[in-house]
Amino acid sequence: MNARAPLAICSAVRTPFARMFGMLRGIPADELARIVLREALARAGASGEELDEVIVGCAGPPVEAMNLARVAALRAQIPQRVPAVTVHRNCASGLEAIHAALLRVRADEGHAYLVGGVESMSEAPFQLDPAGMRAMVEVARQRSTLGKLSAFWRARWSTLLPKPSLRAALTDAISGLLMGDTAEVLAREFAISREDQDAFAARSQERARQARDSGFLAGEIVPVVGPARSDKPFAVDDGIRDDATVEKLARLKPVFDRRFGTVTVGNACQVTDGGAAMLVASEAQAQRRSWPVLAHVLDVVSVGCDPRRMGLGPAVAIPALLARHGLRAADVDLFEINEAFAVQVLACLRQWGDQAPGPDRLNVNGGAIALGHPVGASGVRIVLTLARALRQRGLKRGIASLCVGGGQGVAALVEIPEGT
Amino acid sequence: MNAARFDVEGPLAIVTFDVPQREVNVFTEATLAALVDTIVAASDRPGVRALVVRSAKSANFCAGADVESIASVTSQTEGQRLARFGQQCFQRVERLGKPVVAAVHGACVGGGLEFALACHGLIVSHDPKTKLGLPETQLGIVPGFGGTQRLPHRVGVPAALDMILTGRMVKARSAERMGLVDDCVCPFKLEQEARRYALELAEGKPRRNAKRRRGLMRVLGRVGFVRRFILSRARAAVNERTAGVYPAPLRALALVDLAFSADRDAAFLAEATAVGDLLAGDVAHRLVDLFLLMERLKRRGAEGRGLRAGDLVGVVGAGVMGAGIAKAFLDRSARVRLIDVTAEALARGVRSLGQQSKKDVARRKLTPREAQAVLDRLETDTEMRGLEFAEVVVEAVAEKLEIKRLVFARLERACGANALLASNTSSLPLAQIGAELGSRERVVGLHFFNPVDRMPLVEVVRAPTTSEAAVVEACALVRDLGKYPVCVKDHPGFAVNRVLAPYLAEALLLVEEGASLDAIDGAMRRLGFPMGPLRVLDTVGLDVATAVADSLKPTLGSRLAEPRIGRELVAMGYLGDKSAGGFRVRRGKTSVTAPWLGEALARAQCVARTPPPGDEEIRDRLWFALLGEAAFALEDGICDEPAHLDAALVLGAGFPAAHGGAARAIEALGRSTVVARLENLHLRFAPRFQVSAWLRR
Repeated sequence: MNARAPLAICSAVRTPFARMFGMLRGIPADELARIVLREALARAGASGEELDEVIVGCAGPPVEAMNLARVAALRAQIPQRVPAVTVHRNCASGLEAIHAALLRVRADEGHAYLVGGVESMSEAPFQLDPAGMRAMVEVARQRSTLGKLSAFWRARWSTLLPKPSLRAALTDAISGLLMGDTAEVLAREFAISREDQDAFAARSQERARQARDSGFLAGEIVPVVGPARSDKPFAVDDGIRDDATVEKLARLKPVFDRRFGTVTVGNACQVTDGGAAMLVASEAQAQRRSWPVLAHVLDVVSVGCDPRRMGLGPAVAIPALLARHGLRAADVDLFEINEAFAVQVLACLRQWGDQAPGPDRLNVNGGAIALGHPVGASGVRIVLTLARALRQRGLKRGIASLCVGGGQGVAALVEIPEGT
Repeated sequence: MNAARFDVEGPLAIVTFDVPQREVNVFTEATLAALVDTIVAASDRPGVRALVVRSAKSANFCAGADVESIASVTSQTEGQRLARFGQQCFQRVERLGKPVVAAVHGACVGGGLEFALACHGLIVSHDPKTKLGLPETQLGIVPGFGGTQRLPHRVGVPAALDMILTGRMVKARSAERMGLVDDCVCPFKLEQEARRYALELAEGKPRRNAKRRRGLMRVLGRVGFVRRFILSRARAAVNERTAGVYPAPLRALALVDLAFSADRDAAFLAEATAVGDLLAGDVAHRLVDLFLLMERLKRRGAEGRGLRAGDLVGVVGAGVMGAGIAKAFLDRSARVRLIDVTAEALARGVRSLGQQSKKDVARRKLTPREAQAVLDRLETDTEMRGLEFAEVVVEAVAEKLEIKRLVFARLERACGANALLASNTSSLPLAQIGAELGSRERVVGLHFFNPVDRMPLVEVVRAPTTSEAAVVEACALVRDLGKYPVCVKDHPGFAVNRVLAPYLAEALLLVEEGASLDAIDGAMRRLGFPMGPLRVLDTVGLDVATAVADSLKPTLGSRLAEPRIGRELVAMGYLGDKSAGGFRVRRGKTSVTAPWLGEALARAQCVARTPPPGDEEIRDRLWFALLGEAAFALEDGICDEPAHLDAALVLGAGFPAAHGGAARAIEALGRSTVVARLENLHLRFAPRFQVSAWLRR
């Protein structure tokens, strides 16, 4: 047992992220997970036989696959004896999967884990509200056709209309605020202008565009070719807009507070479908199996905060992580902060004060504003993007962090091991 | 050790059929007698009121008459005697006076089903392994133990004809629906339910499932003119399909008629006579020999590991062949990693697999969940990664030597040291493909035919450097794909393409000389080919056929003619069925001569002969082009035995099984006759129709 042992990332892949009801519509989360889990194994040159567990983060698993990780693992032909668990920490579910593997390796419970994060926002179901459900139960209980008809007649018809579950899922249960409303709270309290937000968003789009055009993103993407799809493969994130300039972004209307708001669809993360996965292992195991080591995850820290200001999560989690390792922000080469909202990232930087990293060290390949935020998948994506960016630039240390709906911040410390 | 035994359980006697030292129960004279004697002895025990017959084999009730012993019968009288013996045995069961219930789990085929039909009750397990059928006509004979008589009365004339003429296997549930069996129960209730049913019958209760046997079609089948109408339609269909080359289906048709029009003894005698006549003829023996040969081919890989569920198989190339090969492996529970250079190519391949799996669901071959599981085993990549644990990799990329070499060089690095490296090369020499590899001993050819899911043949190509272990392993894989492996030497065109090439070229020459398409295809159809040569070309694709011919030209030299018409059609963009058409175009359900053929002939500067070649000339030129090249293939020792070449041609080239294959056809004509006919043709058509040294031996 080694409380400080790192977790080696041996392979990391993701699907391209697709805007909701777009290229990945009709592909359920377990299918996305099957694709990335299998591919993460293949790219490391590993076999399912060598795994100790499969851990997948997902915020809204389909009802057909409640323990999504198990369903996806079996569909990915991973041996039956390998157990699987689905973990949930809203926006940080994917990072939670990595954290779970890190803890297991440190506790010497196992040596190799397949971790992932996945979300299909398109497949989020429609639901009946409780009154509607009671009415349907009443109809079902009646024996005679006449009784069924009259029970149906007695129901309040408006309650029988299915409602999208996604809206409920994106509402904070304690404060009743939509996630976008919490962003507006930060905009007001930190007096962050619409212009600053749009500029941040435009930069995110620009950087994602460069990362795509230089082929950086293609290195982490497994194209989705599916029988359910047309015969065109889906290989590139479709949220990246070539025409996203500050001027064009300025023309968009606020969504959450139509009169005085600042948060638009252009400066918030896109709602997307996608999945990401990694083979992670103890350093010793990676060497034994001669799996390539992309990077080390040294630590993951979670800290709670005010649900009404959930966007400030990284501003509490990153200092906690730095403090635990005796580091200053200046010791960190790259930061990856999930862009739930432009205003939320900017608020974190303000909160942080003069320690805050400049644009040259933050989200250097763009973020969720351009690529999208498939809730469960983002935690894995930012770690894999950070690790690859560090390698590409010959840098050493990075921090990936997300704000979490419900008021939490999670941050992970990633390092490229010496001599590789 | 006896083939049957019985135990008495109160009022019941349980007879267990268990032929010693065989995996399945088969009927020989001895085992048949043993079974029936045991049944009679059991029923004579005091207190026994009913009997149940079961099998001790795990997934087999009875596989029918032993094919090897069928093969040894050559005279009419011996065949007739054997059939009479079987009939009398089953009549003893039928007239036992106490009910006999057959409890069937697993295959119940041929004589096995005829026995079950003679029993007073027939109850089967609802299990995928349970299959009932009368495949005798596929072996050139007719059901000889009363099957042609009892089956029509049991299931009605149309259903009986369907089973007897096609040899189709019927699954448990549909057997119940068509009234063939009395009940269909889950496997672990079979024995219990069979006992209960036997006692039920002993108490005089009616047979179960009787309602299904009183439908309108049953009654109509008993009416003479209706039945004769049905039979004449069936006869026309048989003649259309096989041109009357196979006598057995026609005899079976007449026997089904007798089941209603003649008295029982006369009809049974006619059935036995038919078996004797057919066994005295050549066709049945050729079919039986082919059957035994195919069983032997499957045993070639007996020592091999074969394919196991969950094995990883790499398929490089996601084109038509690659996707077809991937599907074959996926359907047998293997994992497949499909690799192609572009994601677009992969998407097309995966999409076609998805469409096929949808069809499987629509045809009830798979449940939606099973179809999903098949596709779950598929993964794709644009690079050669993730093959470290592959048992075998099959390359199916374009027929270009540099590309194939590059693929194999990468495969050697990407795969584990024990993986079998297979190429689906159809024309390039295997030795050249693997020439630069470090481990040439594990490079083998697996030449699949298009469409992969329907073609039962795979040529297993052995280069001089290929190890015997690799060949055995390849054969085992082919066997586990449900196909037949034929080992061939690494020689251009291998067996099938090489023998077909001069034949197809001859057909093109005939077109150029002005023979009509129907005259050409018809001549071969009358010999028993399922498709004429021009139909084959349209199906395969003229571009593919031209490419194969080009690759064979250096080897076959002047034996292979170079007709211009095929190339002309390719140049005009008419490649066959995959394009607008080739020689023919589809008009609804039929095909007609393509309107552009005249123009193509003019462009190719072909001058028609007047009068055009006659039917006899067409037949002789095509037939001897085929036999002549087959003789050269035998001279080159392409296959281990002449019979293997025959099997390859029947399975892969549509060569009529009634002739038993090319070598068999040559022997039937006599080598000297073939030489004389070839020399005659050579005089007129030199340099074609050369005589191979093998023929003069």
